[in-house]
Amino acid sequence: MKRPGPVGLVILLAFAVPAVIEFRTVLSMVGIDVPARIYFPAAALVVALVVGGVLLWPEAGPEGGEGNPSRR
Amino acid sequence: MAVFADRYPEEARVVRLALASAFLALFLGGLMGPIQALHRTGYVQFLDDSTYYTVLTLHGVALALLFTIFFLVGFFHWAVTDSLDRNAESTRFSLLWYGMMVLGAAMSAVTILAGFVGQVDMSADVLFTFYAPLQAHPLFYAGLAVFLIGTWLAGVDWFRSWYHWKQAHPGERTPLRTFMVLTTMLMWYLATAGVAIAVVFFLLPWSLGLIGSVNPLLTRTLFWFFGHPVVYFWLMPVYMLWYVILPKLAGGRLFSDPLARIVFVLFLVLSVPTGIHHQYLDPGIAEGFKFLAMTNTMFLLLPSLLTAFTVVASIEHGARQRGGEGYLGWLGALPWRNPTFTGLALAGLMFAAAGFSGMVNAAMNLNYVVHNTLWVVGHFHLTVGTAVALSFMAATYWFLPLLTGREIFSERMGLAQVLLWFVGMVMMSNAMHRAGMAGVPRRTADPTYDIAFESGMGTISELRLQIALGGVILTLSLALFFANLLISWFDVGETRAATGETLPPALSGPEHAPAVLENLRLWTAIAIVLVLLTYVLPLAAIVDGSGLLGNIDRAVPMLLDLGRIALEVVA
Amino acid sequence: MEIHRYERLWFAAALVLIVAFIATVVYGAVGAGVEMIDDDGGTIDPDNWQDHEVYDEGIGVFAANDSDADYEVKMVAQHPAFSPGTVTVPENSTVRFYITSLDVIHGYDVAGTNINSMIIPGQISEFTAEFDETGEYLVVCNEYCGPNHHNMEGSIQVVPESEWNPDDALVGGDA
Repeated sequence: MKRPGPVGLVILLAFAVPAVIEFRTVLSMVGIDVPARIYFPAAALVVALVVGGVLLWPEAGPEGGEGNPSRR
Repeated sequence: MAVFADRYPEEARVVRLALASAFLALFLGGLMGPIQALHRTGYVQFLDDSTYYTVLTLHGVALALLFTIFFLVGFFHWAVTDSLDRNAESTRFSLLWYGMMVLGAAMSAVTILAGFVGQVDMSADVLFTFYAPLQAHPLFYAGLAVFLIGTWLAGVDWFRSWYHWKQAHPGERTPLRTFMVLTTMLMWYLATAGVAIAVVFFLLPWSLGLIGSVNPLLTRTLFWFFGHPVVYFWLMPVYMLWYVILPKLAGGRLFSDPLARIVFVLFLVLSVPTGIHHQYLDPGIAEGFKFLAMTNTMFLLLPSLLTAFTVVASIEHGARQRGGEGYLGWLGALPWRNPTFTGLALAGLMFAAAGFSGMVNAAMNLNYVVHNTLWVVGHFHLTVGTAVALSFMAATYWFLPLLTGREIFSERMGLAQVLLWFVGMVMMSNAMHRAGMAGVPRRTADPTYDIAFESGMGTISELRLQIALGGVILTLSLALFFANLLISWFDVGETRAATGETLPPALSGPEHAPAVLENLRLWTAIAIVLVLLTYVLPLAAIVDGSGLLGNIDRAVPMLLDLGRIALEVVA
Repeated sequence: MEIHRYERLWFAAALVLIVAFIATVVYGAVGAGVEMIDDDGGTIDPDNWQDHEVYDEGIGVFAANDSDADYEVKMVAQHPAFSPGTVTVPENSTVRFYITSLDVIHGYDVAGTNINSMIIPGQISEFTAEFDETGEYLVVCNEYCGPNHHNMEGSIQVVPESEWNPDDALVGGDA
């Protein structure tokens, strides 16, 4: 899969923020209550690591990276 | 190559005027947004709570009526002129309808703005829906009527052009964009009948003291007769953008012209007989009528779902033309750096989400949980607030150069603007949906009560923070839009000349469309029959039950003194 | 007119989805028995509401005289208050509400539940609710009704049956 460009990253982030916020709701629905002061810093750290990782991912050329198995 | 402004200078001038009015309305209404977002969440309250409702009226009327409809008439004037490739029949007539719209808008806007000024004995704190017995100053209702008549005359302008085109091109299919405009205007004539009757025969004479009372359920039902199809009126230019412009920007062609026509005919036929779904919880309307409105509304999903297919297919076609490959990889081949493309695509994506929250609203008995809560506000900020507003803003970056002959000042600013809007709206709207599920009401200045709301998880205060933050991000986006717009319009920066653009033909062209689609009289007749079937009985029941003018003899003028009296009584 | 195969599949799926949605609503109406507010409440003259048969005993909580409900609540809404503001009922009771407006359009929304109704002058909203759980429920006016709309609230107190005292809770008389 190709590394998302800057616009793609912003779009993914736009979805990621409420998804992360609501994930805490989902956890509570299965009985895991995480206090806000623990959850949000931890989630922010995870998101920052993921974004950092994506930014470090080299932008692949036409045949770069591991290759896309679903590519025709 | 000559752009539209070179080929049709007089029509381009009318379009520019309409757009200027639209953006002025966007500015006024948009300025109110952050005030509301920060006030009702408790973060910044520099106004009286009661003034909040003046702010809210301005926000709703300026954005949902004036911004949307002024943009529509400008855009449609371009669409008809360009697709028929002929001048409007009379520039004077075009300026007449535009002038009426401006006059009507000004009349209503003055009464709303007067609500901020205590010394003036005039106000219209009745919100966008102006339900009786809340009463506005007569100028408010008169202004709405004049504005509506202006839009009706705009439709006449375009029908005239089409009529003369047909005489010069016998037997040819109507070009797609004009077909879209005509079907939309036919729907509009049908839809506005309800609110025109309510305003002209009841609310205006009542506010002038010519009649003693009105039947609140009747005027409310007549409003919603109009209130649902008006959202499709706002959406139809967006659909034109998604069907006609978006594929071209993606590097491709519209997947199917006939299907686009079918979708617009479906909207003409199905948009109006659904209004009672805004009244599921009203007393005085039998459950059977509500059930019928529900099934009509559910079938109204069909044209939108069909649109989703065609638009995505068209974009995918474009992406593959640009070299995109794979089941999903082609997404990367799209022109995401183009603010118009990205804005329209994101607006379309949001609209899909909005459709789902709309299905919840439409699901009659499920509506109990969301009616008049902040959920509804979250829903319509996705639909009119993003699908429509973001598409219009994104389209401006493509459209304005055709009208001024100059490129936009900064594509990067445009891209940042559309992305910020998307980010802010996702955050704000999601929180609004959740707050609504907890019961937080809409249209309320400071929804803190003696008993607290309970949300599923997390607290209401977290949701308030997201709403405030989302609102602030949206305001930043709006500021970027206006900066870019003003610099481009007044040519402050040195910008390049715009190059003309052609719209490629559809993959499956109009010649494949069944001839019966051209028979607009047939579709209008069917639309009218459906409206009669849906509305005659409930309206008759309301009039039968409590009279044409109601059996209540009260008006509650939304004047500032009333506010002060009420406060004295309560305090 | 040529329609692509995928498009035909999508069209069929869209129709299935629409029919499924309608089916769930029908289930809610017929299976789960959720009735919509309708015209059963009848009409009323807001200036002479006390003369109407629904309000012949005034406002308050009353014992119901039929098998479909245990208690009846007779209420009026007038900016910026509901009268009575607080309603107390025992747990596991079925309560029928009659509400009308004496001035403008209001909403009656019990936050966190599916009790939600428009209150329109000239019309009586009639609906029946079952209160299975004890607790204190916030009632919000959710239709803009004037400059003090945001202060318009009420409550429903659902108390354990052991704490329920009909002599205190059931009232009669005038507003």
